[in-house]
Amino acid sequence: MVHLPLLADQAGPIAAALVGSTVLTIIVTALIVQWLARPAGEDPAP
Amino acid sequence: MTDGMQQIWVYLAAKPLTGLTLTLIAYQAALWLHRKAGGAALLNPVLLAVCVLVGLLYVTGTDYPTYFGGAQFVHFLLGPATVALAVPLYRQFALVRRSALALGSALIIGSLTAAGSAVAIGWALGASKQTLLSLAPKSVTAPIAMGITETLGGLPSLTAVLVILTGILGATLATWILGLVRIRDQRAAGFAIGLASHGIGTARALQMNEVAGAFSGLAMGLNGLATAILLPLLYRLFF
Repeated sequence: MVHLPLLADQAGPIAAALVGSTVLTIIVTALIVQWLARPAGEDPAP
Repeated sequence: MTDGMQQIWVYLAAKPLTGLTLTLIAYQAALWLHRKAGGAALLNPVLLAVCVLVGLLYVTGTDYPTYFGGAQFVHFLLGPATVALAVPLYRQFALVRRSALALGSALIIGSLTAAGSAVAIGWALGASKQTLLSLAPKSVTAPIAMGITETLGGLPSLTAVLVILTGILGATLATWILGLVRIRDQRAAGFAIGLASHGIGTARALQMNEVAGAFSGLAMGLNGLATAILLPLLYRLFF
């Protein structure tokens, strides 16, 4: 059972949460790995 | 549909191989279109194949159990395919070991960001408590996410839908987002995609290159574990 009425009723908050959170998670995670895993002595600035 | 076509469809729909054949054709056609379009992110093959199959089931009035009767072979292959992610990971193991500190830090912060930001945005826009609990594990692979939601008191079936939507979103938007913030390190790109959008994102990362695919598969597994530990703890703190 896929709670369609609930999905339809709260489509706005759900869509905003999915898009916002996915974008933010990818940015935060990628920046942390790229910054912390950079070779020693490399300039952290992009 | 005409009566003749209807009769043919009723006959075919009863055959278990129809669901499997339709799934394979839909995915191959979507993959062909994706490649023809130069790998355009918006033409994600999983997204296209899902749209085609949902449309087809809707138009023909076929219920999901009938479709799944044939398509379950693809579902079965999901297990071996997940285990096979260990192959690129094994090949990149030296690189993984050298990046362990960065990956550990990114895992904890990324996992908290995925659940926390989804709940915060949903709460700010007026989503119900049950919706928020179902949203929280949306970046985790479906079987683990549904288990977490059940423990917290959310709706596992809603979580399953949100997990799939998150995977498609991540796979579709990832290359654009990573380009926007100038991520050049393939370890970072893969780890971020896998953590945010689990298996569907990992399929996209594997298309990018083997390093991104290996780190994406690793992130998918680790985020399942981290979220299963962290979310119930946070729930007890805040609710």
